[in-house]
This record gives sequence, structure tokens and C-alpha cells, in this order.
Amino acid sequence: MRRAAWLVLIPLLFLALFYFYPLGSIFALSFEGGWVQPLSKLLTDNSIHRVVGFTFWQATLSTLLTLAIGLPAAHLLARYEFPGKRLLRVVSSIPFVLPTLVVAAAFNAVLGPRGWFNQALLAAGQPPVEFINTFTAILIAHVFYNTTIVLRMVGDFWSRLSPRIEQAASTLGASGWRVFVYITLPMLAPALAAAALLVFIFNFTSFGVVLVLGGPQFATIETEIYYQTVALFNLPTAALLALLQLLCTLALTIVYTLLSARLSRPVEPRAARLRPLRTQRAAWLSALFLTALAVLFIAPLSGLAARSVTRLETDRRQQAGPPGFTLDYYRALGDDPRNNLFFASPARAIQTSLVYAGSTVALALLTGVPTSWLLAQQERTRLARLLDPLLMLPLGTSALTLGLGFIVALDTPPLDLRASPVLVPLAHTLVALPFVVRSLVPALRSIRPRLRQAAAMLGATPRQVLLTIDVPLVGRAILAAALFAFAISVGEFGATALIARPEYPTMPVLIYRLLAQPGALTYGQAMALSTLLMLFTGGGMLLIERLRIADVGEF
Amino acid sequence: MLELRNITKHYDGKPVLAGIDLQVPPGEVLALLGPSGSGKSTLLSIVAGLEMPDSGHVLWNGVDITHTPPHQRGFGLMFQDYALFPHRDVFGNVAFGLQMAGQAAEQTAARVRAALELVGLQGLERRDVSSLSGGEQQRVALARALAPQPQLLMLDEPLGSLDRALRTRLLGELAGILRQQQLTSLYVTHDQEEAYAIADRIAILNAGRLAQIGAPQELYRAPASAFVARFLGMHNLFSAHVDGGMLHTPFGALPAPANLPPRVQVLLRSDGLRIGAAGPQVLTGELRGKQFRGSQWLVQLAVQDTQIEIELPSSTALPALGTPLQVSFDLAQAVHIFPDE
Repeated sequence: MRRAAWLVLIPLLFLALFYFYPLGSIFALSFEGGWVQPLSKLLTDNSIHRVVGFTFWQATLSTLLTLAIGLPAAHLLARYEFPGKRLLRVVSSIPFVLPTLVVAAAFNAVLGPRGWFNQALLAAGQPPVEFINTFTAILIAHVFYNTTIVLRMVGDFWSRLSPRIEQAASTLGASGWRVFVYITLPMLAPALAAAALLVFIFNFTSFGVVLVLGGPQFATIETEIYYQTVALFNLPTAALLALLQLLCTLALTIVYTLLSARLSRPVEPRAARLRPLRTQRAAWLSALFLTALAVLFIAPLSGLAARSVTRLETDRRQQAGPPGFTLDYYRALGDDPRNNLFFASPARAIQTSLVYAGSTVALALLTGVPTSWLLAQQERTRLARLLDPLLMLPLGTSALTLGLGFIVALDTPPLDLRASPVLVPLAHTLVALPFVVRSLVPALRSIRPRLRQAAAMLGATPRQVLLTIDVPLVGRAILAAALFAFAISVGEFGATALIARPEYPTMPVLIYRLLAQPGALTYGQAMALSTLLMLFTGGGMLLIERLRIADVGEF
Repeated sequence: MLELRNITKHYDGKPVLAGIDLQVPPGEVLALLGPSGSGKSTLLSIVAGLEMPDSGHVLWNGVDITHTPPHQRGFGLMFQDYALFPHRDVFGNVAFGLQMAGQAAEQTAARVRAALELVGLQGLERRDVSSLSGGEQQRVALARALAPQPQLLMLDEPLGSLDRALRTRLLGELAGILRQQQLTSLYVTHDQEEAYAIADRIAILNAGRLAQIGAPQELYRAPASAFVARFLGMHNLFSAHVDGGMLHTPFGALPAPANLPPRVQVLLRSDGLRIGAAGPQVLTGELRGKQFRGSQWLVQLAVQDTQIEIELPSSTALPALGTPLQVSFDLAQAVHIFPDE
């Protein structure tokens, strides 16, 4: 496979220009005035300490909560048969693929000041409940997002552990809880640790949820980078924070990679016979718990969709229609609520998002296809072998760090892309590339030369081989990769919030702005736009599921 | 003394065990023998307490333990797939039962050493169980079940996943250990050779019912039904009908004993025939095949379109294939008559 070895230059050049160069610029900016000043700032600045402390604190608490809810559910999924089991699995995985702004808007639609719950309280003459801009909102949204990781990683591992091992322990005299402590828990440990760490990483770098649901009084490293950049334009401090964030996430990601390598330890391949729940009481308790869980997953999203077609407020001036079903919010998608230079109509945001997403798909396939082809080869050059871990680096880098890197590096010569419309798609491509490559490589590997030979022996011409073997196997994978890139691009918020030009907001950026505005109509527009974004990304992910041939859904 | 009273169990509405009554006196090794799906492993799980019977009782020394959880029974169970704890080394596996019983560390160490010595694995305490060979894993599983000195030892197809040569060797060792420890044991298997070699008595299960129970030689000498005969590897089983005081079989008519139903199954024991026409009963057929088995010849004889298997001493001089051969037998010793199935 010496021929076409130059292809390796495509991903390498791409990463060098749009990953390493921006990060290097952040590094340079942080230490512009020498090492002493930034280091002493890190060590002595109380506000930085507070931010870092809160980041760890909320991530830890969110992770523990997610485990507390996910583990019992994982146990039930792994060991028992019950009605609605498949549904629970599907429903719990939906939030994971949705953009943070959709999730934030969904919680707002249910529990926000204009949401279903508080409007109902208002109608009943009760004082509203405060949820948005509370710590609770951050925690619940994180649980909502990440429980599926525990269900998938721990639950799947658990279901492959032979229950005979637990039975063996009980015949040797171990009571129920001792079986759990001495046998089940230690055997689950690698999966448990990997899942917990992954959840922690997601919580640690969570941006949209903290920004929109937590509000200004809760600052994590991520939101502080945003605040320092956008509000204070204090780039050196933002760069220092980004560097700190980079160190933390890289360290966490490395530990996670080491841990998940241990997960591949062979476990019992056979699936255990699933039993129904033993006692009536256990069955009722489990049903109650699982129903509550299903409600947690379904309520916000269906609440959002319903809110986008329902008017709840009574308008005293009779300008808007009466409460009830309405399509006004969708009709108003073309209206610019503020009508100034730094705002845009939802329709224009949709247009912008689609253009960016299309460009991202093109860029991601242009870099991703040759890269995957290289990685799928049996013999790889040394450079190509280096590619695999390099490509995963953007995954371990927070969106705000990437965005800040673009701002710092790409708006000054030699590479001035500040005004270029390609800046946003480039950032999105960086985020999407690992996913694109991960979905393409298995498909490319699955075409062993034997398959083509077998087809040829059965009388297929080279053209027929291409049409009947290569295209069906890779074509679907390329389509899936394109959809991944599309869904990631339309939903991306962190990097976009920093680098999108103010007059060209994307859908998530505009949802964020709309939610911060007063007015029933603006709120309705936010609901409608969020619902559309949910349909775009959810639909994309649904299509990917249907296209899946090999199991490419690894985290 | 283990006693089972009228044990029944259903899975998804289908009966797996239909009224099993069984007693195992102290020190006896009882083999539960049956084809797959006969319910033998389910019976073992019920005795271990891993499954509850739908009805019936499990008694130990006269005490009803049907609802006692497995960890309070003090029985040992060796699983078919061994179910070794992957996160514990050999010592950690064998010591587990002793640790659960709250034994002191020194005592535990001594008992683990003794158990490993018994199975011939001394010195492997710190090995990872996944690094062991199949035979070694089997021994660790046995040592783990033996170490807490269970009152009753159950073994579920303990040699099932091993290759043939290893099986034969370990079978002998296992039989020796069970005898030496004088353990009351239940040994589940589908292999009659294994059951013969290890059991004091054999209980044959067929579709959730006890087909026959007795010492190996009793079963071999007098199978109680066509099923038992077939399961013990006896091939010359034929349908026959009774007419005019004669039993009409595919290989000829025989004088019928009194009071037979019109349709029966007839077993002609392959070890009950001699060469020659000395008889009381004589069969003439054509020699179709012969396999040398060391101490025996296994011979196929075609009698009136029916093939009969015969075991003859290897000292017998056999004619060429395709030539006629006469054999004779004694009705009382060579023929069993069973009711039609």
C-alpha cells in the first residue's frame, strides 16, 4: 500500500493548521509575558480557584447522581425481562445525541418561567417554582444527558457477566449483599470506572447546560472562557483558562483510554437467561422507578414540542390570539424580533446552519474518507499509525478551547480567516472528524479482498463488484458519516458561540439569544426553533441507526 | 441424608420436573443421568437453592430446607462452566467460601493449601484463573467447592467441557477424591460411562421423571424400560407383537411368556449371544461388519433384513464378511421385554 501514501498529508495538514496551530497560539498567548506572571495568577487568583473548584464540584456531583440513577436501571436492564425494556433503552439514548441548546430549551419549556409547570401554577394562583438558573437545573440536565452512558456501558457489560458466578458465590455461603460487594462490584469495576470517567469528562466540559440553565452565577472553566472572551475581551485570561481546561481534559481522556482498554477483557460471551422479577413488591418498585426514569427522558422533549404549538399566556392587549393550539410561533420564524444588525430571524439562522452543515459535511468527508482509507489498510506506514491517536485529540479538547484557539490564531496573518464564512465549518469539521473516521474505518475494513474475489468467482465483472460489494458496504457508511457531520454541525454550540459572526447566528446561537429575551412571541420562536433543531439532529441520528451495518457506535 | 419429596418445576408452562422422589444416604455418590432437557440440572439447582420448586420439598437430615437461601445451606456446587471468579486468583477463589464463613486467615490458608494439594494444584495459589488450562480450571472449581467442607457436594457435568483424554484421567481422580472424602454427592452427567465409573447408584431421568434408580450393575443387568436400555447404549431394540403364544420380532419368532400385551419392545442383549448353534435359541444371519475393540469384537449380523449388534470375545475366530454365521442365546438371559412406549 505504498501508493497513495501521500494521502496521509491531508489529515496531518488539517490537524496541524486547525488544531495544533490554534492550540499553540493559545499557549503562546498565555505565556506572552513570560512564565512567572501567568503561573502566579493561576496560583493566587481566587476567582480562578473558585471557577476550577466549582467545575470539579458540579462534575463530581452530577456524575454521582447519574450513577445513583443509572446503576439500578442498568441492573434491571441486564438481569430481568420486563415490558417496555426496548423502549426504555431507546428513549434513554435520545438525549445523548441532542444539542445542548435543545435540552436547555426543553427543560425551559417544562420548568422555566414560561414553561408548562409554572404556567399551570400561575393559572392556579400559586407562586412559580424557580428552576432555571439553579444548581439543581444543571444537575438534572446532566443526569438527563448522561444516564444512557451508564446504561449502555455498565448495563451491557453486566448482562454479559454470567449469573452463574454470582450463584457460585452464594453456594459458597455469600449472602445477597456480600455477593454484590465481593463478586459483582469487582467484576463490574472496569466498566463502572470507565463509564463514570466518561460521564465526568462530559460534565466537566459541559458548556451549554451550565450557561443556559445555570445562569451567570455558576461559572465553570468552560463558561468562564466564554465570559472572558465575549464580555470582557480578556483574551490572555481566557487563554490561560483554556490551557488549564486542556490539561485537565487531556489527563482525563488518557486515563479513560487506558481504562476502556481493560474493558476489552474477554467476559462470558453467552447471554444469560433473563428472568422475570421475583416478588410482587420488587416488580412494583422497579416499575415505579423505570416509569419515573422514562418520564425524566420523555417529558422535557415532548414538553418542548408541545410548547412550540401551544400558547399558554393570556395577552391583555388582545394582540396575540387566545391560549391554546397555535402555529403562530412557526409563522413568526421569518420575523426578526429585534430588527438590528446583531440579531437575525430564525429563518435566517436555519439557513445559516444548513449552509454551515453542508460545508462541514463536504469538509469532513474530504478529510475523513482518505484518512479512514489509510487507517483501514492492513499495512500502515509509521505516519499513518500515528494518525489514530492524533485524530482522537479533538475529542479530548473542549469546544470552547477549540473556539478560542480559532479566535486567537486564525484572525491574524498568516492565516486570517476572521471574516471568512469557512471558519465555523472548519471548527465543526474538527469536532466531527473523529466520529466520521470511527464510522468509516470499520466499514472499509469489512471489505476484505476475499469478498471481491468471491464475487468475481461467482461471475461478477469488476463493475458489478464495485456496484454490488463496495458501494453497498461503504456507501451506507459514507452516508452515515455525512449524517454524523451534519448533526454535529447543526447542534454545535460551544465553539460556534465564540467564532460565529454576530450577524450570522446559527440555530443554537439564536436559541440562546432568544431565550434571554423577554416576550411571549420571542419565547415561542425559541420553542419552535428548538423543536426544528431537535427534529434535524434526532432525525439524522435515527437515520444513522438504520444505516448501521457494523457496530460503529463506540464512544 | 438428602431427601426430595415430589419435586415439580415448570418453565414457561412446560413441565421440567414432574414429581421427583429421591433419597441420598450419607456418603453415597448418586449420579443423575439423563439426556439434555431431562431436568437433571434443574433438579441440581433446586437442591442448591438457586431455583425454587413449584411444589414439593427438599429435606436435609429431616429438616425442610426448601426455602432456605443457597448461602445458608452449606452445600457445595461445582458448575459445568466452573464459574470461577475472574477477578480473584486461584487462592482467592478457593478461599472464598472459608472467608464467607468468617474463618481466621491462617486457618483459611491451611485449608486452601490442603484443598489444592488434594486436587494436585499445590503452588499455583497466586496464578490468575484465566491463565489456567481447562483441566486446571476444573481442579480449581473442585477445590473451591471442597474447601469449605460442604455437607453435600453437587457436580454439574464437571467434565463436560474437557477433551476426551483429559476426561478419562480426571474421572479417575475425581472418583478417588469423592471416595476418600466420603462425601455425600450428586453428580449430574449425560454420559453413562462417567456415571458407571463414579456412582454408587444412578438415577436416570427422562423428561422430568425418574425412569429408574439403582446400582450401575443393576441398571445394566436389568434396565426397567426401553428408554433406559437405549440410553445405556443398548442398540438391539425392536418392536414386536404377540400372536398365538409367540413373540414375533423382526429377527424371528420366539416363545412368548404369559400375560404380555399385544405390542411390546424387545431388547436382545448384545453381550448375551454366543457363536455356534448350541442354543436354546438359534439365529442365522449374514456377517455384515466387524470392528476390533481390543478385548472384544463388535459384530453386525443381518438377520431377515434386520441388523443386530453382537459383542464377542476377541479370541473368537470370525469368518469373512458376507458369509453366513450362526449365533445362539438363552431367552431368560439375553432378552428383555418392555411395554411399548
